[in-house]
Amino acid sequence: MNIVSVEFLLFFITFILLYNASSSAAWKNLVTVAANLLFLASFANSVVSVVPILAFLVYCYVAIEIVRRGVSASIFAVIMILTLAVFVVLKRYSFVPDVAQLSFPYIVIGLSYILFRVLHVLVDVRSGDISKPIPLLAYLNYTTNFLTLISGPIQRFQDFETHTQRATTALTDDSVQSALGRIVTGFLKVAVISAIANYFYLDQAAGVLAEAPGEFTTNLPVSYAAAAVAYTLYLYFNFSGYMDIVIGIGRLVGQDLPENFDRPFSSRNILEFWGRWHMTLSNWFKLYLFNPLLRLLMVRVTNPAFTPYLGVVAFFVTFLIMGIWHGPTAIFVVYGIIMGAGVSLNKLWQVVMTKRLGKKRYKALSDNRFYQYLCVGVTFSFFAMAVTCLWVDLAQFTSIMTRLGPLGVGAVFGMIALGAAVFISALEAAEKSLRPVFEKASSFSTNMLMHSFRLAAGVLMIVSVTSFFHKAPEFVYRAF
Amino acid sequence: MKYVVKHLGMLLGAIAALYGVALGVTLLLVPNPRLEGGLDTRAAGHTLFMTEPKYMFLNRQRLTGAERKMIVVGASNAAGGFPQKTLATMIPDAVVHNLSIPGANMTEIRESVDLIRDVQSAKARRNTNYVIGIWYGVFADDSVKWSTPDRHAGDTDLDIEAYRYGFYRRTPAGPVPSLPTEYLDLGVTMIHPLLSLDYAARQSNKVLEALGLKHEKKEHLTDADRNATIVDELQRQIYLKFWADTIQLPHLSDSSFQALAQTISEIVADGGQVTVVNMAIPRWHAERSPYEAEYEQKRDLVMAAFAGHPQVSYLELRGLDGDDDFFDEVHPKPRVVPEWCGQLAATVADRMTRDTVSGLTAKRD
Repeated sequence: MNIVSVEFLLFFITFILLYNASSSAAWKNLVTVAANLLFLASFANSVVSVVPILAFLVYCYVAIEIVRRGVSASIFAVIMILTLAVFVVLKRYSFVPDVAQLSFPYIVIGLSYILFRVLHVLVDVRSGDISKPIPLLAYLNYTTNFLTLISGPIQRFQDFETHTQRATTALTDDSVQSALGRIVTGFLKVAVISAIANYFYLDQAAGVLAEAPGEFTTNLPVSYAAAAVAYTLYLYFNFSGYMDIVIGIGRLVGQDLPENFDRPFSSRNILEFWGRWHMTLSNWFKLYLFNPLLRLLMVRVTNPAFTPYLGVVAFFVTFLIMGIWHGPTAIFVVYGIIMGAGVSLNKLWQVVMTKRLGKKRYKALSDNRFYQYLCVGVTFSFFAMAVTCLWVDLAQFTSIMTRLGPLGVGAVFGMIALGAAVFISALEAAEKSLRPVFEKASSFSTNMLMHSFRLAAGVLMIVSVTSFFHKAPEFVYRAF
Repeated sequence: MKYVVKHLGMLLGAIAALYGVALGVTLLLVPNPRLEGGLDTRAAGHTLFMTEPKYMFLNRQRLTGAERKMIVVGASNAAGGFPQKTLATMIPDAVVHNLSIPGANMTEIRESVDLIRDVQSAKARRNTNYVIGIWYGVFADDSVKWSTPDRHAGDTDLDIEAYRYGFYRRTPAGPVPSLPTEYLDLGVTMIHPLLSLDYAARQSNKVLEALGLKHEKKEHLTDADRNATIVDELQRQIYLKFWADTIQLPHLSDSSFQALAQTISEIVADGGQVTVVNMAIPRWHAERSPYEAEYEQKRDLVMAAFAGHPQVSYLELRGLDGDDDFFDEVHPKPRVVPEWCGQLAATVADRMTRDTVSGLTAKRD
């Protein structure tokens, strides 16, 4: 079910109305389970195609229950490895031999996010953070929640349970108004802004990819830079718009979903960027991979001279794995290496600069306006070029980089960085000076009727722009 | 619950009010076009519909009448080779429409015929004479032809128009009407604000092009330019490569030839008439294309099945294949167009005379 579709619109409106039709917790649970299963089934072509994902869910539930009853460290390790192995096979990673793969088509939508949730529950059950048995219905609603199934936000089970228990919180004029506003904003981002960015990206990328291997044209750096920037904007508005929609719907059904974006393009370095982009995924990796890995390294490497550099290694490994998680082919390994290299170099830069300049002077440099915007531009440029891996395969990536050569790559990097620095600084300055106007306008639209007309104008804009395009933009992150 | 219903109700009300205002304003500022005479997709750019597929899809209600009509369907060479206005003067006994769509393949041509039949009564179908322009280029396989990143794989340009405003819905079996065809005109009126917005956006592009602020995608040639064009060897090679890239596969699509046969059969079953025109292409093109021989063989097989059928005729234009009679690899120069139209008019007139005589004979009997 595409989120920019009449089917999804009718689906979630029906869900909201049915969910709120009774205050009984049993009713709400039942409606939620039905909605989750219906949403999952909408991606299936046959009954058989949902069997693997359902079997994975059942296996994970059994595994959680076994761990809850108490297992040794080695058994726990076996369970974790087995869970990852089943995931890798189901995801059809390219290194999995054909004989180990299932021979029929099946759905894997949401599988990565189910894995994140299950691994977290397994770890927390083992550590005792989750002590009570998890009821089957709650487990199913947590792992297959249609709002978060495809791409998060990733919520901890404890938070999910707390919020679900608050599901009976009465809705008010303000909460409904604000939730509907968030949903319309989300659709505007997905169906209007991301669709326009996608249009430009496809146009530019077609030119970049159509050129023969080994051929360098003077247009290539500009076309590639334009495609990379357009794709990055498409990715951001599509993904953050999707989050706005699910967070808005969540508020109408008692689910207080966590935020997943916090103005990522204002980040001054790539480490900060990952604290603002897909925040729940970054937190998950921090909690369940980076922190344990860093602890392990600190135990193994006792020489204090190396301590500052352990973070560099831990960051590289974490982001390498995060990159590989994005997809089953070789290009995602390249993506992981680039991201890993980026964050570890970033960390190394901080360590070296602090050593060279001292904390005070480094802080003074970091507070310099010009330096800050340069860093914002460099961060954007690095991310835009790294996510090229999400729209090409390995052969295409190699072809683009070979054709550009080191000089061309540097020129593109500089061009995007400079453009982003100027544009983002101008945008932030404009936003600052226009803030009083926005505040006045928003106080005006607190009037319920005015608010409805503002939302209606947004809806009509979505309908109009959608009618311009041949194809409504699909949620881009569902592919990962 | 009451808050959800209340705010959704207010939102729906506000949408209806705003859309109503937009509808009123756009109907006032950009009135519905009054189309006189036959439909002509080549005029699409001067109407609110702007593109040929949209013009064809949204104007079909004009074809519901029981009057005798002739409808040309095909690709751009059928649009340029049989201009509606020229044909209309040569065939006064029927209302002539040219609904050819540039870039169409046989699947899209078949869709055009099906979409027309969908809105017609049995009597209107009986009184319709289709002219189907074919050459090897319209037998490109759907998997190659309709596969671009900006569309769902397999969607033709007509499918895109069918889905665009929700008149049809997507199903595994293809587009299915969600608006009954008899309400097509009402539907077109209801989407007037969206059509006007699209029109305004495209017009602003034209203004930008005229001001030199935007690169013009299409080269504007006059009839005199076209008549004076000489296609040199380099250009011929580019055109041959273009068609090799367009068809891509080593063979033409068998299912497209089946689609041609099925289209003819369905029209005939309705009581309508079909004239299949073997469109001329320059001799150099026919001689050097790797697809021409296969096309001729498969076309002949299809046409053999309808040989002697009273409702099916075949017009061979391949005699008009002089290299100097085309301004590119498929489109005839304006100076030879009257000859093309004349041959088609003669074939159709002959058919109409026979139909009239047989009709009178039948009445007398």
